[in-house]
Amino acid sequence: MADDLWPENIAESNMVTPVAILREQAALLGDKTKQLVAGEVQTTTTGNLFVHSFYVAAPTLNYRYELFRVQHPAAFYPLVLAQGQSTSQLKSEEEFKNKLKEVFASPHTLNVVHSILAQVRS
Amino acid sequence: MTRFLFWNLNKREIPGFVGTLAREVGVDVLILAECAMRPERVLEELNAEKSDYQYAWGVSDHLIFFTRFDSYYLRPLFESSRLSIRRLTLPESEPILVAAAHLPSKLSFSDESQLFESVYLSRAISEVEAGEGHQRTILLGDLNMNPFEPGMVGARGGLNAVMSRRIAARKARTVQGEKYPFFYNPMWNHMGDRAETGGTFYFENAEPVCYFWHMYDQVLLRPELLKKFEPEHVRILREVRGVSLLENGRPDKEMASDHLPVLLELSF
Repeated sequence: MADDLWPENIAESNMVTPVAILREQAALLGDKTKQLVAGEVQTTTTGNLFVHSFYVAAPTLNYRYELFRVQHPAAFYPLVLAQGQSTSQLKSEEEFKNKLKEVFASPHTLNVVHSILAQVRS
Repeated sequence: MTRFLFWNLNKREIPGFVGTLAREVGVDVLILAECAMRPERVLEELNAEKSDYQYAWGVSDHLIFFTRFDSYYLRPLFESSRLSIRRLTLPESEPILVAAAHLPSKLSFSDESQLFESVYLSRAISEVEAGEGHQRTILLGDLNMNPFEPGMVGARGGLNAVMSRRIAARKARTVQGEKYPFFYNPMWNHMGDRAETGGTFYFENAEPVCYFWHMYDQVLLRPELLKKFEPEHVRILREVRGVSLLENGRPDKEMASDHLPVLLELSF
């Protein structure tokens, strides 16, 4: 039998992934709009990077708008949040959450969500 | 236990009824036929108290789906105007197929044409099952046929849906040297005076042959899903939070719909 060189705790992980944070926020948007407008997260990989796109979606219209994109290596941080032409490098979970709060409260996001909501209701 | 509810709304705009019923019963997958309301309108009522329900997108004109699960778990695999076959994948459960249909009415289709519709439906289900590699399938819908009609009972093209669970447990029968998988049709248990109502739809006319009650709205299950199924897991609902859906013992089409909703509770 081969020697097992892995440490005993190799399979133990309670780290919160950036995508889990994004999914949680995506679900909260649906809760606030009676699911008329919801958040969606789609993950792809490129090289050694994970890329998570955060969409504002109108499921009944089969429409979605990419609000921003997050990419990070296997170690999560620092990660890069890209929205349009601007990018931010975020070094920790706390910085990431603060940036999300800022993005969600921005006039651009409010305009996108309100416009899609109006489109759904019209 | 997952709760599926099918209701033909007869184009009535009754979002309040739908929302209240879904929440009261704790419906997990709601399928509406002949829904004249936009999905957004229904969604607002379903989520009037809590944003539990999501619209599960599809292209079928006649059927719309809502779910308390993430709609990602209820993806269409095959859809046509009157048919939607979806994969329901829940965490820690084997995926099942949820087929819903609203077949053409007897007002516009002859018995023979309805038989062809049944063949089309049966073949579509079999093809999706073959693609998925299993037969854990339920079919819910307004099939516009009674359980005893040839399109429901016949093999070799029909749905091969039998009244007896014991027979369905044989899984398939051979006709002319070829095997055809059974559906179990629990709706037989709901016909006549020992049931909640005589059927799900009432139509009385002056023809010599008149059944009065019809069981057009049905739930069928493949034998693979019968292990944990009990007869009381299918119900025809007659009221919504104390408000009767019947008038003089028949579906009250002024108050709600001319069809009664059918509920299936399923463990899988």
